[in-house]
Amino acid sequence: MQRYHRKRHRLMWLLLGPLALILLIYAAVNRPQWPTMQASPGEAPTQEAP
Amino acid sequence: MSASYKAVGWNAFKKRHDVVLILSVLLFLAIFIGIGLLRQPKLTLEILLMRAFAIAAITLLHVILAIGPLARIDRRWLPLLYNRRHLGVTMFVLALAHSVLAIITYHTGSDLHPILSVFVSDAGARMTAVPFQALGFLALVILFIMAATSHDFWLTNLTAPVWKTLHMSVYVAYVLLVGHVAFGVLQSETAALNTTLMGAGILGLTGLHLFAAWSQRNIDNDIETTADDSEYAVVCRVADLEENVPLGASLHGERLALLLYEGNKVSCVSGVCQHQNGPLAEGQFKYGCLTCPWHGYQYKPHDGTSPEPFTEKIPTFDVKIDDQDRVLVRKHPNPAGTPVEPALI
Repeated sequence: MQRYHRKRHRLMWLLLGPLALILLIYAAVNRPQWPTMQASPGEAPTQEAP
Repeated sequence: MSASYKAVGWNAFKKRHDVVLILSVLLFLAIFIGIGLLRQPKLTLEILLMRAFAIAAITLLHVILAIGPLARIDRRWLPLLYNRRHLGVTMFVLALAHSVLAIITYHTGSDLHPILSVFVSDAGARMTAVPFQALGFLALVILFIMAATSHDFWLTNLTAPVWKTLHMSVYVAYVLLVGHVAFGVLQSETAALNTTLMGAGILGLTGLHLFAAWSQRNIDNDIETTADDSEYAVVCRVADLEENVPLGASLHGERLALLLYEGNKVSCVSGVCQHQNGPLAEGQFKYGCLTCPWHGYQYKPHDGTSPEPFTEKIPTFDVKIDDQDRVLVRKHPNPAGTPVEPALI
């Protein structure tokens, strides 16, 4: 006889859903800060200074 | 069914399904690249293609993972389930195209082997400490194994439980791909819409699977066995049975399909199709056979065998009806294909 596998599916999604969501949120929160462009001396700044 | 193997058992529905699938994918790629060229003319065609293949693949993966619960919630989705393997192979081809382009673009031209380079380099633009390209490559390996073993030849030789367990590794591939996207493209493409769409995909899939499980909890939960007869368990009442409509139940973790047919006969067989573990109790009673809703495999209710020339067979259960009009099923199944005299009401 074959074991009932729907309960495995349900359990998997109870684990996988939160895990995937945590991964996504962690990656979004920990994005690297890209260096911003600095104005050359004497030039008007084109971007807001960091 | 099992009489012979063909590369693909084409029929009119499968052909229509695949034509719509291929046209949809091509249309998506054309629209994505067209808009990309207009909005970001500095991007090369390789980069646009790479992104188009990736988005098509991840979108298709979400569709594939949603079909199962959708079909459980509403039978009108069953035709898509019937052809889900074609969607899976198409998704793998799209992911492979994305990977080949990425490897050619970022990992050739150095002394390192391109595959090794995927694991040890980040193509000169370190976005994150997480090796997102390795996550994507591992997911691709899983998708390859699934695509390569998707044919019924492998299903028969590995047996349905092993095959089904192997193909549940798609969930591992899904989490790896979420990591690949989250620590890859979403590190540089910081628009909130991108992360929101990915999050909506994860929440949508999780919600669908859990809702489908909740909506069918009556079938999934084990029957409470009564102590008045140790050999048999009360599964339902005669009044619960509708003629020619299978009734599902679960007994000690085994799925059952009960059927009232030919006016007064009640039989019980395993509720698990031998082909892909499909839910027989959710199928129809056609031409004197229980018919699996997934791929149309059929079994006779009194002996669990498929009609000639097919050779599949499933376990049967002894059934009796007591003087209180309760349907009792023997707790232990008979070997697959064992004829059982139907109980009469």
